[in-house]
Amino acid sequence: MEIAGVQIDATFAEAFDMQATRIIITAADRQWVQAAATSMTGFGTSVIACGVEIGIEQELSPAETPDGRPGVAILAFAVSAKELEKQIPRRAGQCVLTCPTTSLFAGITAEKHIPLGKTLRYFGDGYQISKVLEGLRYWRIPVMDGEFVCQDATGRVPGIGGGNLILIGDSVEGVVRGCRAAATAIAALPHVITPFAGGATRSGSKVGSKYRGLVASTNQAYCPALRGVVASELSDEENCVLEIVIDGLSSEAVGGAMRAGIHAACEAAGTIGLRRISAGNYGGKLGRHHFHLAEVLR
Amino acid sequence: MTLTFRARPGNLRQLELGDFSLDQLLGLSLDAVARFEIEASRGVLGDWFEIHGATDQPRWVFEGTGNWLDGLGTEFCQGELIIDGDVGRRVARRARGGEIVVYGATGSWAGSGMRGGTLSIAGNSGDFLGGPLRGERGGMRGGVIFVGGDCGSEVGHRLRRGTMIVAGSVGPRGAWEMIAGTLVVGGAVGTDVGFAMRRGTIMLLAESVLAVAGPSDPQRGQQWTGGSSVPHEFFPLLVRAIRAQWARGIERCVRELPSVAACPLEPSESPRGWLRRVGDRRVGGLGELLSRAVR
Repeated sequence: MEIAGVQIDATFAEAFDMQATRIIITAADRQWVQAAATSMTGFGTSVIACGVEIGIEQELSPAETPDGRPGVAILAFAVSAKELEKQIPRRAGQCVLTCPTTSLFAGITAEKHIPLGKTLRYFGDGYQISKVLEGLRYWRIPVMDGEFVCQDATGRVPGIGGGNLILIGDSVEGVVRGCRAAATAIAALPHVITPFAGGATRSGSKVGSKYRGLVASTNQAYCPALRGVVASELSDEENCVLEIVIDGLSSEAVGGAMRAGIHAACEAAGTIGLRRISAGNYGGKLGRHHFHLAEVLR
Repeated sequence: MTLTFRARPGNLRQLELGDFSLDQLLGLSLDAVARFEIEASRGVLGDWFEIHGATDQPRWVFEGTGNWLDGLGTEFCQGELIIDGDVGRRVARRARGGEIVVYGATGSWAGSGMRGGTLSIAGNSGDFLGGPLRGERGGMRGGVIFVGGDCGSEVGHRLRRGTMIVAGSVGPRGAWEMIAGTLVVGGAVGTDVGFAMRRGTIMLLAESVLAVAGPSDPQRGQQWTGGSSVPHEFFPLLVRAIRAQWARGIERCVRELPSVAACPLEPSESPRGWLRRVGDRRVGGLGELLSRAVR
């Protein structure tokens, strides 16, 4: 299959079951919202070492937030509920509570919960106020600019992590332009994030390593510098590879994001060096979710 | 289908339903409902009411009632109860869910010890709205009470959780010994508001009502901190919730509430026009009293 001159490989992305949550940060103005969100989603590219894959899902207008102020929705994914319960309160406490004028709300309702204010309230040292409005519990923690308002908990739902696209081209310029277009297209979609910096990663990995204790290491089959040294997946003209990792709340969301990313990348960079789009998998043995490129494009 | 109780004309006998839950009537035949014995009043329901309709749904209507009917809606937990007329003491006592609407006035202790659900009263309500009976420790613990008219004294006594909105005025000792929760008053407030209050929020919507809300005895009455600015982060949430609950209260009572104004809080109400006092400091309380700043 080809789109705008770019070959689409007959392969599939292999994705995994994750635990996910969604939170909403609001603040007095867009600058503080962005500052808090950027801080909270920092160092959240991969569960391999960050504990959580986390990113901004979308900006929210004042009409879309619980308190009528500008906000953002953040999605976070982890391999276990326990890890998510550790990461979210810790990040919220250090990155949102500390940021001027911010408030923190649940972004999703579910039977299972991730604590927010339930944990952070203790910062109030006894002066915190619990308030139940319309059936929702909020905590008001006195801070130096007024109060940090924080919903008691947010929902925890099943999610999917590890949807991916591998963009292959003859030059860095072409692949980078394709990646940027794909990441921009995916950023506009709800219920998905691309957790890596700028939406793309150059360090696609394989499971394991020659070094004991290292759970992931470079995927040599996609490294142009090792062409001729190892069994390579790259032809002689393919000199740059970047990967877009996609986490989402449902298989429909991940599949839709892959489709949007493929189309955007091909249209933006098909004529300037993007040659092929593939996807990463482990032979289908590790992840329950298989996103065949041909199927997501239907 | 609805089960309708129409009060027999000329009734003067008091009916005490404090030991009776309407759920006990579900699935009974109309004849069995009419013969249902109310021990506390030494009679059967048919002595007070003409009964028609069906018992298959938790939906009840009482028509032509008056202050002779006490304890109606005790432990109410599901469905809808409409009281088309005045009602006596302890309506919706310890209600846990469902929706109760009174198209008239109520006696004292309406919503006493409520735990959930909604109670909407189109007219006035007596003393001790939501409060505990004498000798009990806890007041209202959940749910929403909306009163379209005025209330008597000791509204929200020992309120622990839930929201009370009184569109009109309240008498003395409102939110007395309040533990938590929210009390909103649209009109005037009597003296000693928030006396011995520990936590929770009192929001006074009318202009300059604090002048009459102070302690009746300055030596022993409640103590508030000086007014400070209202935290701008929480205020929009509070305003939004109160506006929504006020609008729902009016919607429920719309037939009898043509004169009740819409919530006087603007959707974009600014916290800058408000002052926050903390108290009752005489008992170490950290409750808050929100009132409009005097212009």
